[in-house]
Amino acid sequence: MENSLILIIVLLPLAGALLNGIVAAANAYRKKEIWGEKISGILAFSTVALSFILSMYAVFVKMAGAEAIACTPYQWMTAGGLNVNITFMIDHLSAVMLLVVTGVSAVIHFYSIGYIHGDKSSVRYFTYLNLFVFAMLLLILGDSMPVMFVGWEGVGLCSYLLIGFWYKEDEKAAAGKKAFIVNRIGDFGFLLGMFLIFANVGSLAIADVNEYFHQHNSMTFFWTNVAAICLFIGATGKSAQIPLYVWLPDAMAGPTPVSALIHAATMVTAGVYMVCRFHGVYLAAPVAMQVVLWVGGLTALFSATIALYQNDIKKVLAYSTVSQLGFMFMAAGAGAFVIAIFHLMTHAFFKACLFLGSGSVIHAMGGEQDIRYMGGLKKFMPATFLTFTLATLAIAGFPPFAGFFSKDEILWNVFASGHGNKIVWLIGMVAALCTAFYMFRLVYLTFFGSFRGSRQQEHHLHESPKTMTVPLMILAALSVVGGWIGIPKLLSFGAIPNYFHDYLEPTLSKYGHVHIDHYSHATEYALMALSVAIAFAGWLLARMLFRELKYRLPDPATYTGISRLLWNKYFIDEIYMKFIVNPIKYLSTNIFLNIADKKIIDGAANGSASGWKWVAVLLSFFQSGNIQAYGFYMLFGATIAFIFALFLF
Amino acid sequence: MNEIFFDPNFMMGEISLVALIVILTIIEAFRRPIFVLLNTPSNSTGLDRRNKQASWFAGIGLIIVAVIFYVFGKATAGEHIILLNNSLTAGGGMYIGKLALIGAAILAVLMSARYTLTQSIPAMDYYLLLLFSLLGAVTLIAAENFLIIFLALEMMSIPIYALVGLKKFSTRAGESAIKYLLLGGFSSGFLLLGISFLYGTTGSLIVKDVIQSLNFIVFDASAFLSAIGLIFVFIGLAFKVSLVPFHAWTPDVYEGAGTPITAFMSVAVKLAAFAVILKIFASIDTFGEFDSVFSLIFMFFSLLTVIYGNSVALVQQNVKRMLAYSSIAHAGYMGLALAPMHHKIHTVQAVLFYGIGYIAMNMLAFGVLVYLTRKEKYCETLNDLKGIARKYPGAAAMMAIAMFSLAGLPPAVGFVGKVQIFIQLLEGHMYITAVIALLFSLVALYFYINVIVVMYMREPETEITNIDKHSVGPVWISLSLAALFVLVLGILPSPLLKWALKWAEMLF
Repeated sequence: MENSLILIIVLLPLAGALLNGIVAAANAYRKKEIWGEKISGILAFSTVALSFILSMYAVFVKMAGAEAIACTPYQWMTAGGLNVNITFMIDHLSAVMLLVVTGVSAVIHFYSIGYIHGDKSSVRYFTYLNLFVFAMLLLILGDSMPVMFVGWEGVGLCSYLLIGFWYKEDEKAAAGKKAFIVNRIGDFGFLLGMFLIFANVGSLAIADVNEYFHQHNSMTFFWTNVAAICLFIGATGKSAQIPLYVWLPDAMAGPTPVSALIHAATMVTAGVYMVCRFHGVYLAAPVAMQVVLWVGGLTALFSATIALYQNDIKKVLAYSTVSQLGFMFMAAGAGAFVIAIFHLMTHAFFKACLFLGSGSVIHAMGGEQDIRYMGGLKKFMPATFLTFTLATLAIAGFPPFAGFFSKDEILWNVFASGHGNKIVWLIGMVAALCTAFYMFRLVYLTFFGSFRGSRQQEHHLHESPKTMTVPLMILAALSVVGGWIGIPKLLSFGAIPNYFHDYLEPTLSKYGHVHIDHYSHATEYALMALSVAIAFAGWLLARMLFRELKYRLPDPATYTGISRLLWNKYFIDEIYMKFIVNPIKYLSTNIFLNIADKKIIDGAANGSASGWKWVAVLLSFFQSGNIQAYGFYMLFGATIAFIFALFLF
Repeated sequence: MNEIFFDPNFMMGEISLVALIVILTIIEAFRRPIFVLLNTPSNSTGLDRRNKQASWFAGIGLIIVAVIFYVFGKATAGEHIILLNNSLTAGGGMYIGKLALIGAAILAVLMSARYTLTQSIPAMDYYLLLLFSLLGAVTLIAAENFLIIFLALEMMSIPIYALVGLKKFSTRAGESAIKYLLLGGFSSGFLLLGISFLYGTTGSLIVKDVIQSLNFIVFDASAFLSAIGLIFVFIGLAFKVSLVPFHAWTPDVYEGAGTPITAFMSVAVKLAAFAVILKIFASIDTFGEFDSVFSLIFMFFSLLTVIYGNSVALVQQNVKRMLAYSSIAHAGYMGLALAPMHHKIHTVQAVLFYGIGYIAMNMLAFGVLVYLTRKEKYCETLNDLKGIARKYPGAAAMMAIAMFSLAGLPPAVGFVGKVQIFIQLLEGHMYITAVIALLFSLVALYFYINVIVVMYMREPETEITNIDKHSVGPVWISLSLAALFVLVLGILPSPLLKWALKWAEMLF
């Protein structure tokens, strides 16, 4: 088999998961540890790390100069006229994803060894984590939509398992369930899109699909856009965009490294990746592009405003993630797929760093997540503080940190691209301002001022162990330098090549270019300056309000007006509950349960009854004519069938 | 295709199955003397000992029969013949279907070894009835003639009526058996009436001839009678696979019958009856307007089945009952593949693949319930499963695999099956139908996953009592085999797809 290296990259995490899974099951069965958390953690870490090293080899050595390498272990199935091969393909787009995913995963696996220390189910934890990496690799390397879908479902499943990992707490199990259900809605869109595409293209291989829409699109304008929007609905589910973002903030119930890996750096970006992967489809569907652009822009602003008023350190970061994903979709919607992936990468670095930093803080605070009870942690945990601040500078968009380059380019493309829009650009600028503000609010409330928690907590404060701070430092370093591979030519006056752009552009413009309106260099510089100014403004505002907290933060219960609206996240959960969940519940209990299947209630009532009662029930069935009723159903069905037969004449 | 009156090579499997039934009957008749001979010291009571030995006989016997089916089936696979004056087809890929049915029976026997012990049911009677039913099923899928279809269908069903009510003092079982018997009789009436109509209008009982002659029919009164005849036949078979609204017996009977019996009939009867449905209705393709009528009928009833089955399963507290509704819904999916007009061999392939995959996953789900049985307490409701994963992680994992597959999630076989069905719908341009079916398969995810949630993420209400230790081994073998099939067929479905295609070729 050609390039079986790719297969090894994919299978390594699976092997780790299987081994750990068997051990976890055996541990549970024999009620004693066959091997402890240390070994399973190291096993999980080393499979992913090895996979990362091999990925680097594959990308930089095997693929050097080539457009793509692929490996087809076998033909999965045929269904009617459809052939599905298991093919893993690394092209420039999936190469970037591959390196980001395996790299960040390796770092976070390492961090987890320290974080999960002492938990009884740590072996199970590493099993899920490894399984997640495997599924993610299927998703990004799969060369056809069904294989991609397997990964898509797989990451969803692992996310679900890990959100509910500490399932003894009901809230966490409920969060897992919510994530599951919301993602089903997204999946429905994804599958519908797949249906539409198969019905017209007759193939589900990614290259065929893109090629079809680029070259021989015989679908009408309407259906082309519908197909693209259906796929995007899938993306909104996985990547937490309006209206399906509600699961992500609740997903913070999971362990913090999971939030960092799955709900910030990798899985939630799958939607962005998918849109870029199918850029051939989107470029043929201008309306869908506008939808992507607007949904991205609105989500960016919407969740950034919610983040302004959250007091839970992880909730702030969660809404921030939703907002940053909105930025990525803005880029994709403006046709700047390269930039979307660029921001995806830089975001993976700084957001993973922020989440791991928050994990370190929560660890030190003994589980406390409310920033109203923190403050002054700077002197207790210097390493965490430093890395957290660097990542904050990156996300806020200060030059020369990573986030500056990617965010600035997004805004520029939204401003200038033919698919872009000045209103969305404005929305993006406001969102960027909010970002800088809430992130520095978080930094000041957590690390500055004096400690506001209990004495007991203060006594307990300490810097986290090396296994946790070393990953923080790696990610913080990447948050600083990660953007330097994509410095715009304008800024370096052409002296430094824009490596990232040059690497990805050929792959992502294969199916058409996006027109960029011509503006003078002065405009570009002015916009760049403006976005830097906005970052400073957000910082200064936060510094003014929160640096030395002279007053108690008000109790959320006393909020009124806009702050109440924001604190309650625009009441979206309540609205969904009232208008969607409750009616469905009502329907299934009152209609289906009571009318269609009366027997369950009888069964429940009589389940414990003694034998003779059953005779009575049996007799009552004869007397009430239950079998007659069943027979009647059959006759009824027969009648319908006869009516159909009348169509013959 | 040759017509031969009789050639033992093509019938060796069936002959060996009959031989096994005869041998077991003789053993049962003379069991006391033989048991004296075979007597081994044991602490269990007389019934238990006899049951254990009966399980051994039945299990090993069935495995031998399966080997004979395989060896002779493989040897005669190159030829496709029609035996006994147009009664049965043989040769070709038919043996794959028969092996699948025998496989289901073997899994059922492995589970029954435990079930008959925990419930103190006389095992030999039980196995004999099971084998008779199996003989009916393997005959049914080979039937070429409406009369043989009727006979085989009854041979398959009547032992099951008895098996459902085998627990003599359980009123619940009695209720189920009577319900099933009465309604089964009702549906057989439909089937026979339909056959008579078809004989009246076409003058033949041979499936191929009937369908051929319908080709040249002028649309007059006799065409209408033929249509009604075919509809009657459809109803008789729809009852067996439990399409809505011919399904009403299913939940009650599944709940009341012994779990291994439920497992066997939910898969074997369904597969065999679907093979007949395919044989009759998939080749209607050739005659224009009839096709559109039956396309409509299959679309309507199957879609109704998918919607109803999945919706009602959503609110079930009893797992067996939930699986009953789930089995209704799965029949709906299989039926949906017949909805597009102009059937191809791939339609048949898709349904047969789905049916075989369904054997593995449903046997697995029911097998876990058998494993968790106690003497005085069935493990049936969601409450009984709460927190079971901590005490019985293996069983919980098996159940999780089954639920994934039933829900149609990759990498289990259920996913590949659903893909097959949906591709048929899309290639037949039935987009709205496909979308509705897809929507309800996502609804279904909820109640399947709920089982996993209950097992893994809920605390048990009372302490979980120990399960009976009787014959846990055979159940584990059946669980492992079924789980293996579910996963391997999901990851590597191509061989089975090829086999299903071979079998499909036999049905045309």
